[in-house]
Amino acid sequence: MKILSSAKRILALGSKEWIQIYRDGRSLVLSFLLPVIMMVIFGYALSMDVTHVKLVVLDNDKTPFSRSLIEEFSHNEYISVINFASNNGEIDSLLNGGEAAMGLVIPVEFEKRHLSGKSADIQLLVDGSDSSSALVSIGYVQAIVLDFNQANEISEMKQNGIKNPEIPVDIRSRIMYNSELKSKNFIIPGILAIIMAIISALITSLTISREWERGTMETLISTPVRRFELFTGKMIPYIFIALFDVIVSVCLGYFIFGVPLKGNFTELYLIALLFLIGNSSLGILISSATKSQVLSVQLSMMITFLPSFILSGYVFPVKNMPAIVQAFTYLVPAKYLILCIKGIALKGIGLTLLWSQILFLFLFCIIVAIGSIKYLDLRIPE
Amino acid sequence: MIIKFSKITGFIRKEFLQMMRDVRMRMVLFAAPVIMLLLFGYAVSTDVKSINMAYIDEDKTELSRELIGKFTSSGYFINYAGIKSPLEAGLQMDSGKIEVFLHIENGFEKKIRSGSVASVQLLIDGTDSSRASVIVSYVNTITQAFSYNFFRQRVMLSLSAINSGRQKGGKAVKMPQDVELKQRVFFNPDLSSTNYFLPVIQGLIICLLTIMLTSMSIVKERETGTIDQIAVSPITPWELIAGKTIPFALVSFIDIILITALIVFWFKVPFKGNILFLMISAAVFIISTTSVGLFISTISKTQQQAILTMFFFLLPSIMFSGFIFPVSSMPPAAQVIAFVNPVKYYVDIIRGIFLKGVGFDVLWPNLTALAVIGSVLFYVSARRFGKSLE
Repeated sequence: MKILSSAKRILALGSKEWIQIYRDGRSLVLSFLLPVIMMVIFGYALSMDVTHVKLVVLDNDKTPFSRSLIEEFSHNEYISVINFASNNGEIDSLLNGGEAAMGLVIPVEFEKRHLSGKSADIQLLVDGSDSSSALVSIGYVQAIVLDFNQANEISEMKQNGIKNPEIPVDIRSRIMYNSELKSKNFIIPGILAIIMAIISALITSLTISREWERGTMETLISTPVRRFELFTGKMIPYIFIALFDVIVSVCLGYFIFGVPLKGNFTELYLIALLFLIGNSSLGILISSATKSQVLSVQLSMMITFLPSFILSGYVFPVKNMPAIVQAFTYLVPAKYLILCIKGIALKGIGLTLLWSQILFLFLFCIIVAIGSIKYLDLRIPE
Repeated sequence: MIIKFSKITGFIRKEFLQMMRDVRMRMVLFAAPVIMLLLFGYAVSTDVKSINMAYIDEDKTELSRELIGKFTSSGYFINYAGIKSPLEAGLQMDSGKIEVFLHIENGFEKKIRSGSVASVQLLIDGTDSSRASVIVSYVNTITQAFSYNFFRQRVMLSLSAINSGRQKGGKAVKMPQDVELKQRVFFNPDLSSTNYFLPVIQGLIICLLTIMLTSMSIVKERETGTIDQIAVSPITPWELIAGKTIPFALVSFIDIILITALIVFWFKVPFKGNILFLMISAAVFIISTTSVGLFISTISKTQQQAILTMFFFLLPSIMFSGFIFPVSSMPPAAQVIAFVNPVKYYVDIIRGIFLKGVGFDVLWPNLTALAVIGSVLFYVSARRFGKSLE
């Protein structure tokens, strides 16, 4: 009997919250559509592929040999020769302004030195600002130069009528899980986690503080509602909205952007549910702690948005961080969700390998939920 | 558009006091940015190091050990011991324990020495494509150099065989000289990713702070109805705007100085440019983000609406800023969004100043764009705001 009446009160609160969302047309549309719109825009636009690196060439030699080297750079999707400079200053200003990312300088007498067996150095000037792209770009250039050298030797041998030797080591590299190294395959799962993290904590962070600000909290207190019921009732509508968003986002990722989903969708969905409960509880905790909407929003933004982005291991690997910051990442639920989504979607692994992440997520959920129920203040301030 | 400063100083002072009175607000304004910077400052690194690598060496010869040694001595790879079979390696890669797996089969050295092809298997975890690209680049550099070394030996061997077989006086065939690549890295010679990401965090924090505070505080007044009281007072809309935005703008400016000092003195990120130019750009940036906040406040009735609308502005402005995702890699249609995004210009300016040490002569287009966007936003939102009061 007790449970029944408790469930009744939870339902009543939930439907009241739902009516309030429903009444405010924009909030309704935004909370349903915003994550979807974001997914579409970001999925389409964001990429970290290092392709078409802009190269400016300064050819001081202008011989068939130097041209054949430059030719090697112009026929691939990794490097685009955007310009031919006539002096070093021009390269400098293109690098300064960010119009070129690399400069290649071929010295005078390049061909002559090469033919006479002297060392022929070419210089690569690299804008190192973005170190990852710079490293990958340098790798491209090194590979091209190595191929060029090898081809020269082979053609030299041919001219002398010698059968060219075999390439000694055949490296069979296989890139697992994401064989074409498409950055979308990790950007989109991460975006999903970040949007869910923000939306779920942000919206719920307004729920309790709004009641306080409008003065309706005092009415609520005078009803027989208990803390646990208030907590659950407030959360339910938002969880449903977010669960809807998850389905739509996963479908978008899979059907529109071609992100693989090798694992089990149900497992993914249950993990997402766990994550949403944890994050919404966090929102309610913040809300009842501040009792002010401005502050709640500030706090939940700061606690969810930037940490989910920066401390979750999404773009910045956790293992690069110093120990104390690594300890903080355990408090960021988005970290577990991202690991789980990547694992399920790209690697196709299941609960057997992900159980530790799920356990942490579960602990986070329990602790925050208990904390936020405890913190719900159902007394009228004197 | 008349602003009497004597009249609004009192108003600004009231707003300022109201803002500072609340301990928690003081925390949000000053402590939070500093804490966020300290925390994130240590986190924003994409440097690809300590790559966990496992190998199986079935050959166990001098050459196979030499190849493995090239990996371990490069400083990037950490040996993950205890892998017995390729199957086990696959499992460890599934669980994320290893990122690279090298398998050298039996007969590796024999094949290389005898002039045939020795094959080596490499598995690389590609989940994080960005990190994997750098790993692939490291791996290729090592393996290609290793293979090429023996290739040259083979070429030399056959050439010398020909030369010795030739009659005296005949022209000897020379080994062609290699083209050598000398690279020089500009602006960030240590290739430290922290130098690239950390300075930009100030832009993100300030953007977050100003947009949120401005829009929420105005909407709050509207929700509680106190804005009507101000509207009927002799204060003009422009003065009201000034009073509402100036305190936040000032605080944000102080935050920028604080954060920049931390970045330079605490995190030791090299600062090559002009501090004055940075401050001017920061001021222009604050004007444009505050205007965004003002604009959001004019189109939102409740704080919940404001926050959702804000989210709609905030997330794209950070994603399309080039902070993490390079604008140049975006499709052209998406670059249009970046083109009208004030944060993008500020990110470019900060990076230009910090890393390249360039100033107004190179960055003027960015500053101009920022100023144009800022003033358009300010004008539009201030007009809307004025109308919304009537």
